[in-house]
Amino acid sequence: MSIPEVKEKWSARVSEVTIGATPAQGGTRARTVTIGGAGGIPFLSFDGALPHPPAIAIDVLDKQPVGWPKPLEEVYGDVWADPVQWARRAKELGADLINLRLTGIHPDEGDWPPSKAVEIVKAVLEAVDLPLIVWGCDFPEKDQRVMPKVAEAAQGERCLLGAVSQTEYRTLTAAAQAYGHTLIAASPCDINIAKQVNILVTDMGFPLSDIVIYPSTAALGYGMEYIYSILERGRLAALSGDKLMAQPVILDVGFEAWRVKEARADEEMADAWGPLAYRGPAWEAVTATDLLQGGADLLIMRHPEAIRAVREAVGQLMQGDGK
Amino acid sequence: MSGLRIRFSPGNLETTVEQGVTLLEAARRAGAYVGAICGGEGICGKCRVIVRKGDVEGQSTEFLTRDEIRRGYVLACQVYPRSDLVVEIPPESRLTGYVGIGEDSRRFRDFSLRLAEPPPALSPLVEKFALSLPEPTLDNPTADQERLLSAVARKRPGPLQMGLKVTRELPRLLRRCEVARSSWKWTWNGNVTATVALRGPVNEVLCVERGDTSRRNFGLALDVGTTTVVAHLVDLTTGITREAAAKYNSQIRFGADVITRINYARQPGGAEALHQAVIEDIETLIEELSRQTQIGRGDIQCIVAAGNTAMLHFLLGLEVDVIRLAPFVPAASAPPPVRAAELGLRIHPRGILYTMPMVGSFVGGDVTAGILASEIYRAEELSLLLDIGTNGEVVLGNKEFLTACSASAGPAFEGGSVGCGMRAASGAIDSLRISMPGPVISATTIDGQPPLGLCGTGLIDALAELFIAGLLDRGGRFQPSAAPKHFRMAEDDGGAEFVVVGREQSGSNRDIVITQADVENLIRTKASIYAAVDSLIQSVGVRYSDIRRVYIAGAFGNRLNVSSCVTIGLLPDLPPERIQFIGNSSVAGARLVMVSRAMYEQMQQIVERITYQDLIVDAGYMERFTSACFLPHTDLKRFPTVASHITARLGSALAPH
Repeated sequence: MSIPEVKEKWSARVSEVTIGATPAQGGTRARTVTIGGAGGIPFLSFDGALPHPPAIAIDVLDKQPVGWPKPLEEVYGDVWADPVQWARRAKELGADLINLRLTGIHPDEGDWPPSKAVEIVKAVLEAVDLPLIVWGCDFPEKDQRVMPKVAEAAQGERCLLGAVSQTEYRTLTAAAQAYGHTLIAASPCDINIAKQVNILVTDMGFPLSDIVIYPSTAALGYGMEYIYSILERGRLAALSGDKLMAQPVILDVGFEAWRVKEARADEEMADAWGPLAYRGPAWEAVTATDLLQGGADLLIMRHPEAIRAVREAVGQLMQGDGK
Repeated sequence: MSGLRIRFSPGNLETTVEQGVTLLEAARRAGAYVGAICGGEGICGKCRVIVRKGDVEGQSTEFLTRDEIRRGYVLACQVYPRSDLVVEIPPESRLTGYVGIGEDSRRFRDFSLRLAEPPPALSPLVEKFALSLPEPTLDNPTADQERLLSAVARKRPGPLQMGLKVTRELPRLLRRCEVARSSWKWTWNGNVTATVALRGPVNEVLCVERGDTSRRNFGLALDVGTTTVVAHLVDLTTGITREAAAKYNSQIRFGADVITRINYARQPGGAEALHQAVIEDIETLIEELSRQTQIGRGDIQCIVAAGNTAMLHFLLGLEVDVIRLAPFVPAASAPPPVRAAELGLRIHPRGILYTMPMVGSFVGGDVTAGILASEIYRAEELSLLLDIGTNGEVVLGNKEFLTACSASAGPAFEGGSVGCGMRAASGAIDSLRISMPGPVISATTIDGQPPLGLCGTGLIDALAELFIAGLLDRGGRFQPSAAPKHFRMAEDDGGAEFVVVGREQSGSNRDIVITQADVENLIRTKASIYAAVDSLIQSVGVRYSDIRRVYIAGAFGNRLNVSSCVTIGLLPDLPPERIQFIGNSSVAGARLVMVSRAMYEQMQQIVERITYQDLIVDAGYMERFTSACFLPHTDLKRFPTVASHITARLGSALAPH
């Protein structure tokens, strides 16, 4: 008796976005990172080719973070006052990319001028040769002043800039276009709004092939299933030929996982939950590996143990794929 | 202390109020109409009045500019008189059309007459039969009542009934009593006219009159709309509308939309006030029609009322609160015919009021009337009926099936929830074009009056033209850089506003603007209607291209531009010849029922055929709504005509995806 054919045939694939530029490409990165390209459902390589395993970027803040829990302090506490050193640490820990957040420019967080942001971005680019993701502070008026300068300063490096939204997209899109960067298009857990942002950005002439979708993120136990279903629906739409959903996806796992109480409460507060040193990274790892099943191509993460666990899981799932 | 005297101009209306009464309430008591869409909650900013003399207390700065406050503007619902006052009601706050009923009548009559001719085979609900009854003899001693009923039965077969009151009068109608000295003599005169009305399954002899009055038989077809009440005085012997009249629903005083009014009805005396308001409106219309045509109230034998479920409940004095609350059940969906006099409507004392049957709490008798008038119930081709009002009702079907749903669209197309929005009244901008470069704006107003604001058609045009001109992006965000001179910063939140007409040219001495919030409201309104259409299309499993006819009903004014409706994604992108504006289909349907018992029967069957889809429980509706909250829609493939406009503007490099 023959076993019936169960392979799915997909008519389209996720587009590829390459972040970073080598000296030959006009930048200064040692190598580039390409994400996307999936021709089938995550980890089902018999359905369609999965040319790139998910990439992992490590979070670096432009100034010392407030309220990060102990397990993270143990890893970064000695370097987190200096973004350059912090970025170096991230590279040592095996990051594929550096994820730099410009928090200090926020009017309530220091209100740094654009020049200071530019200085930090330049210093990080100089110190570490990994491709760079840069986010503004999510205060539109300020980001509109800072991000064009940052984009200009990083010209040629093909950074991934975040993030454009439904209401605020003109300035950042124009800056990314002018200086040759790729863009993160953010939407609040809604496929239609994700498409709408893509349309608005491409209506300005920005190529759809340089967009990475950020559908927002939620941690395990905090609405992760909503994000999961949005990821899955988006990926199925992409594989079925919906060009507006065909962009690779970035998820902010570290930020979300490390703000839930399960990843923060120490043993004194939650004795029965077991040691925080294990529980925190586990929360981040489980969130990440779950969401990867829905269809994600680039994860922003924080703890090296979590990153190791995710890489191990991905390796097992992709075994025999020649990657 | 004694009361405060408040005088309102124009009109010199005066009232005396105690302290602690708002200026809006004072206006109500004085009978001065001040637009108050939110019903006095201080959230619509429409009840602008100018205090010319005297003091008021209270805050009303939110909707007014500094300059206006200096000139004495206040929001009537937010301030309390502190002394005697002289108050001016500026043009933009007046309910124009209340006094000048004539102009509105003409405007509304023209739309509703479109569906009015020719009448079907005439068989009115109420008929008059001129009879000649033979004199009883000893050989034929049948009683008066039986004699009359058997004569009527020959003209109108079926079960008959006749009340005691009519029977009491009958012998004296059929005979003349002549008194001579101490004796008297009855002289037979069998020439009488019997008025017969359909009442449920039986016919009722409403009254008997001497002689032949069969030519004097009239009925009133009525549309009780949330915004407008329209009445047609129909000659039941010919089926032709003799005259039509319309006025604004004076329930607007208690709130612009149905839900606000239902909430008002819960206050002590509120339900009665709402009921009386609509009764008085109908009385005003009857008075006006009677004056114009010289037809007496007593010759109006019946009324057929159409309207949404809430309006018909208010009319009949039924409990409305149940409509608003889950599981959204009306008090009655097919109220029986009642005597109009019971409701305080002064037509023939025994005249009957019929109500168009309703499908549910949010698909009312106006929709059944629309189905009847548009004839989609017997169409071979797949047809779509859209009744665009505060509640948008959508019907999809043909002679095989009918399915309907209702979406809470909001009052934006009727002028509510839009800063410079207004109803389709004198001075409303009802069409608008923007040409680039420039932009050069050209507009028309109703009656050619100086512009006071924008009505539904003007707002639809504005949205479409701003979008095509590149002044709005597809998400509905203003693009001030494309025409910096035409935008200004809002005083309150610093957002961009598009100036349609500068104050020097407006009739209200203020700029007529469209704000970012207005655009968002309009987009949500159009999206909710399109998403409702989409839900029906999906549930039936047809394609848009299968729809052969689209009928648009509503009190839009006669300048509804189909192409603008498609451009903003309110209507599906179908060839324009398939889309037809049919005006007030509600009153047209009421009229059809009134002149044809076959249609009355048909309507009962239509109601039973309709499958109601509740969008509240439709999981896909929100998703369809979000994807429609874009210009024209997130999926541009649905709008190929609009796509070609956009491509032309953006250049061929940016072809739609």
